[in-house]
Amino acid sequence: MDVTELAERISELPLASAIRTGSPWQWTFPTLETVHVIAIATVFGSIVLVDVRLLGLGQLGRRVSRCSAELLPLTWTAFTLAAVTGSLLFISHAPDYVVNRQFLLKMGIILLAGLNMLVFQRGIYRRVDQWDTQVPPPAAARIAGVVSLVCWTAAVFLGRWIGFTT
Amino acid sequence: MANGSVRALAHSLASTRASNALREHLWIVPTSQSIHIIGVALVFTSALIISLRLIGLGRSEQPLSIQISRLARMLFFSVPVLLVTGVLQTIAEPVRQLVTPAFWLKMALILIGLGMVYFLAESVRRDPHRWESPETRPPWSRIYAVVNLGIWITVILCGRFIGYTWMKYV
Repeated sequence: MDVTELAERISELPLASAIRTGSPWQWTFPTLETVHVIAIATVFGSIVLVDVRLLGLGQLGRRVSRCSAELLPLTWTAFTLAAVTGSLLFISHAPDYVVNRQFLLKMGIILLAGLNMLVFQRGIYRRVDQWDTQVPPPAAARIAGVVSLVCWTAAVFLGRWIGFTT
Repeated sequence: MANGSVRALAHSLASTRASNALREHLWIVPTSQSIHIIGVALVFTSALIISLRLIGLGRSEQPLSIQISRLARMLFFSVPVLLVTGVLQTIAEPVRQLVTPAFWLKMALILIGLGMVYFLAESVRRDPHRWESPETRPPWSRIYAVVNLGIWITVILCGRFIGYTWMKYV
């Protein structure tokens, strides 16, 4: 079974067709989109707050480890909500999305953002106690901050663009 | 109701050269909307963190007064970005925007929401010590937190629903 066929099958699930057809509730799709926007807004906003500290642009006078520890739970909670609502939106029009360039690019970029986070956590962040109060932080941390900002901004743009292509 | 005149205004705005020019370049509206979402993200996250802190769900090593003033500043800095992109989108698609109750409800709630954040930031600035401990905080601070968060959630809801309801009102 190839991807297109799998996508067809997924979109035939009762849940997927309920979201797509708006039966029993006609506002299902836009409501899911709204929750998705709220979740993305929280992911993006909380990540920006950490990134500006990593770049040495804001939240100065605060320890990087505190910024990160206070904001990451919010980021992950919101990301989970974004992933759940995003998956529900996806299954409703799976055959369209699997061939949609903007959608695929968006997924790739979110993966890249995750990879960037992993490299940061496993790398320079292990020695954060050595640069916790340093402004600006070491180059590796600043690079992680820039990559993160660029990836998430691109993800927002691509997400909005999907709505203009399907 | 003044619906007829709003509709007439929307249609005449749509026929202006500026409106046509904005629509002719197909990338302008989605780009503006994307920047708008980034502004929404900054406003919403600020308001959310403020509310969580006041409710007692969000902890921070920062004193509450400093955290609120920082977040309120980020919130108010995002407003011009939202205003510019929002006006641009309204000029480009006036009929889509101006005819829906969702649009007008959104505008009213934004004014109330911004007023509330300004009022809170001022209250905290005038008497920062009172705000540090939940015992000495004004009794309305928790209600404020829930109402303000509800307002911003509804603003986003209205924003999304403009695109789904306007066809009914044209």
